[in-house]
Formats: sequence, structure tokens, C-alpha cells
Amino acid sequence: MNPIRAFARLPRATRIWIQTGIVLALGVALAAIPIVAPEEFNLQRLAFFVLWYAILASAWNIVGGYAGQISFGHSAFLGMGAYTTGIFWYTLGWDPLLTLPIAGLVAAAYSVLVGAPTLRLRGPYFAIATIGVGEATRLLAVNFDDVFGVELTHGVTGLSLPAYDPVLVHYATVGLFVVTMLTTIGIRAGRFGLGLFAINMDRDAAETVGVPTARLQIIALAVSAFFAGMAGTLYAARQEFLDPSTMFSFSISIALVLMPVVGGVGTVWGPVFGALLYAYVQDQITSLVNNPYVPSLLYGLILVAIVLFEPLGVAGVIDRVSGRARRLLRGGAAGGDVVA
Amino acid sequence: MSDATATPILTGRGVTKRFGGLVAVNGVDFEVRQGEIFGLIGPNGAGKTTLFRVMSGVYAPTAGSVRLRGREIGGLGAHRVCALGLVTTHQLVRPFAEMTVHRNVLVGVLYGRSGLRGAQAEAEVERVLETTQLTPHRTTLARSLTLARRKRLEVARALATRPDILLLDEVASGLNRTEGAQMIALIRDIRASGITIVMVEHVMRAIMSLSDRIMVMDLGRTIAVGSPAEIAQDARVIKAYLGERAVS
Repeated sequence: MNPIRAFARLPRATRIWIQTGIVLALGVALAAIPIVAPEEFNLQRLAFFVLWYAILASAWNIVGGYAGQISFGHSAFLGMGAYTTGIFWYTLGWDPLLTLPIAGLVAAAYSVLVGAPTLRLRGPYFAIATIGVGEATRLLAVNFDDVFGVELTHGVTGLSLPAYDPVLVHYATVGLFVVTMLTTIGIRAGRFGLGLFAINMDRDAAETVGVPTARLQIIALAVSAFFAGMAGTLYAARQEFLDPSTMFSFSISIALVLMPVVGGVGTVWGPVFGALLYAYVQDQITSLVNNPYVPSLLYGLILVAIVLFEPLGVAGVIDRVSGRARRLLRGGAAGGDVVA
Repeated sequence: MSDATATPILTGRGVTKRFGGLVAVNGVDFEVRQGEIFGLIGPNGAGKTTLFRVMSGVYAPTAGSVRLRGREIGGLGAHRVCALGLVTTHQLVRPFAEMTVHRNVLVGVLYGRSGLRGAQAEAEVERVLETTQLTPHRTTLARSLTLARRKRLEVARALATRPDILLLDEVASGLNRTEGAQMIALIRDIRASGITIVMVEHVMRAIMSLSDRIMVMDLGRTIAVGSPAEIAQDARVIKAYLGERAVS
């Protein structure tokens, strides 16, 4: 019996509890890294980036995977959160980790502001609009100080932040990963998630049977941006430096689309697989060939192969190996329970 | 059911819908009564589908009003109209293709007017599947259903929202004789459960045998309203369908 299919047959409550258990166990194991291996800085760095990407990709997946609104501008929310933390830390001296909720809320508020007009657009039009949002937000960060005559973002120079304890950041990252995963598991299993999948399949039909599509999409985007913004805080605290061209970069936005697509879009664990693969490949190839463009190239090739041969990504490959590919492709792409 | 004293549930007054220079619906009055099956027919381009969309709150009328139990619904938006108890099926069936039949109906239950959650919502889904004879297909993906079953799913999903009034757009078209008969039986059952039905249909057999009253439209206007027997005799209707010479 294929384990994924067997899992899908379990009662809904059981599936939620099993997944919650996996997330909590993972959280405990990951939190132990700095204690078990205090000198393994490279492992700690890799763990941070895997989790950080997993948080971002899972956040993107709520609006991109569940609701089917593909955003190519998610670095805007990441950057908003990072800069919120950076500014509170740099100018007011607040502890960066204490600004986590503020960063999340600022990013969420910003997402509602830009989402209200753009979410009226559909499919590719929305995607294109989000590219514009991402770019406009970057320019906002670059020119903010000049335009308003203040010293907050420090323009292209960026913000050089004080040093911060990486172990504390590690715990915060594990914590946020756990909360993000529990949120996406809960959304996918519940009424809200079902509404998002209905929008994903057919917005008009969803509207007809009572789904308040506009409101649900805005909420999904806000939740997504909330987590992306908090991921920004983690980055600021870990890297201790922020500049607009990194934080608001188009390449991060693209990576946030790639990871869920590679791992399995619309599934709970797909973005996590994708993040693991992305961070690991990035790390290995960079140290191997010493050319920063090779990972991107390789990743592009993987993406093309996935779109052509396995639209369900890694999640689909796992099931294919188990020999029930057809049914999964039909059943699990979105809305099905297969790779819940 | 169709006696003139029955309370009107959905009324239109001077409903006009213009698209640029094209007047698709031109000053149409209508009155759908509680518990009846109200048919809407007319040749291609008569404005039936446009009127339908105005009735369902998707289009705001350019002029005039559409009231559901006295409350204006023109342009309110489909999900709000659904919450008020009016739900539409689509002419080209639009199931949530990648969801199972069960989950398609669950969307209607959870977002409709039942207010049911959890186990009670699940029970409601099973009840609706039973009514629409879709129980054997509950775990089938909507996209792999036959057309006849997809049409029934469209009706099932709408029923799951617990409407007072159901608007059926060409729900019998494209079905063979047996499937059509099943659909007609289903529509009768739905009406028997107390739901008012408005249907647009090309399949004359379906609309003539089901409707209590029929409204005939041509070129955006109402040309006749009456029982199926009256409509079949009406000179204006025959003219609209068959042309001038058929009458003279």
C-alpha cells in the first residue's frame, strides 16, 4: 500500500494530528542543533536558510498554491518586514526579535493595500501586476529617505545593523517555521482552505455558491504577507545588513515561486521539499563550482523538467515511485487530499 | 402552485441591460411566484442569458430593479445573492474540476446558508448527493464525470447552499433522452421540496413539461407570458420562432 494514499484515506482529524506531530517533532529536533552541534556553524547556517526558505515558500503557497494567485512580487512583503525590523532596531534600538509581530503586521497591512486593486485581476494579469508591485516597493525603499527627507532606509547604501546572537535567531526561526506549518496545515484542512481551492479552480463558480472570493483572497494574501514579513525580521537579525536590491530583489520573488512549484504546489509539504532542495543545491553547487550563476541555471533546468514531466513536483515524484501516479496527478494537484 | 394569488418571490420592473450600444434586455417586467417553475425561452440573442445574469445579481441592470422578496439584488454580486437565498447554475457546467464530487458539494454546504460545520456538514453533503443520485461517485474527481453527471453536480452544489430559489441555465441541454428524463425528474423533486425554480432552456420538451408558467423573450423584450399551453398557441411566439410566413 502506498503510504501517501494510505495517509489520504485516514479521517481528517487524524491527518491533522499526524501532521501536527511531525511538525512539532521536527521543531524539537531542529531546535536541538545549536545544543548538539554548537561548533557546526556551516550546518547552522544551512539549517537557517532551509527553514527560512521553507517559511517563505509555505507563506507564498497560501495565496499562490491554495488560492492559485501566482505572485511574482513576494519579496515586497519580505522586504517590508525586514526593513520594519531594521528601522526599529537601527533607529530606536529595539531588540529585533521583539519586532517580529510588528514586521508581520506591517507586511500584512501593505499586502492589503496593494492586494485590493491587484487581486481583481486574474491569472497572468495578476502575476504581471505583482512584478510591478515588487519593483515599485524596491524603488520606494531606495528613494524613501530622499523623498520624505528622513533617515530611515538609508537608500541604496542599506542598513548596517548591530551584531546579534545567531543562536537566538535559530530558535526564533524554528519557532516561526513550526507556527507557519501549523497555519498552512490548518488552512488546508478547513473551510477557509476549501474556499481558496474553490477560487483556484473557478472563481465565478465559487462566487455563485456563496464563497466571498474577494474577501478570501485578501485574507489569504494578508496571512501570506504576515509570515513573509516575519521571515524578513529573521533575515535582518541573522545577516545584520539590509539593502534594497537584495531584500526586494526579483530573484527572491522568483525563488519563492520556484520552491513550491518544484516541491509540489498547493500541498502542505511541497514548499518544504522545494526549500530543502533549493537551499541545498544552492549551497553545494556554489561551493563546488564557485560560480554564483550555476545554481540558478540548474534550478531553471529542473523547473522546466518539472513543468514538462511532473506538475506536482517532488510530491508527485514520490507518489509516482509508489506506482499510483495517475491517480495522484488527478487527485492531488489541488483540492484533493492526497499530499495533504 | 401557479395560481395568481401565490406570493411573488422574485420580481423585475423595467429591467434594462445595455452593453454599449446594444440593448440586450429592454424594459422587461417579470414576476416569479413562490413554489412555481418559471420557464424562460426565446430564440438566440433574445436576451435570456443576460436577464438571467441580472436576476442572479451578477449584472447590475442599466435601469429598472430586480427584487428578491422585496429586496433589491441587482448587481449585488453572486455570493451575497446566494446568502439571500438565490443560486444559479452555469450554462456551461463549471464544477471545481480537481476536487472530488464530495468536496464540490461541501463548498456549497460550508459557504451556503446552511450554517452547518463539521460532521453535520458532512451529513448534509451525503443527503444532497443522495437527492442528486451522485452518492456512488462521491470520491470521483469532478472532471472525470460524464456530462450528465457534471450537470447533476452543478445542481447538487447549488442545492447544497439551501436556496429558496434556484436558477437553472440550460440544465437539460446536451443530454440524451434518458439523462434528460432523469434531470426532469430531479427538477420535479427539487420543486416538491419547496424550492422555486427559474429555468432557461433550449430543450422544449423539458421546459414545456416542467414549467407552470413560461415567459417568452425576443430581441430583449417580453413577447408573451402564460402556461405552456397558452404559449404554444400564441401567434407572436410562433412568429418569433418560425418567422412571419408560418403565422399567415
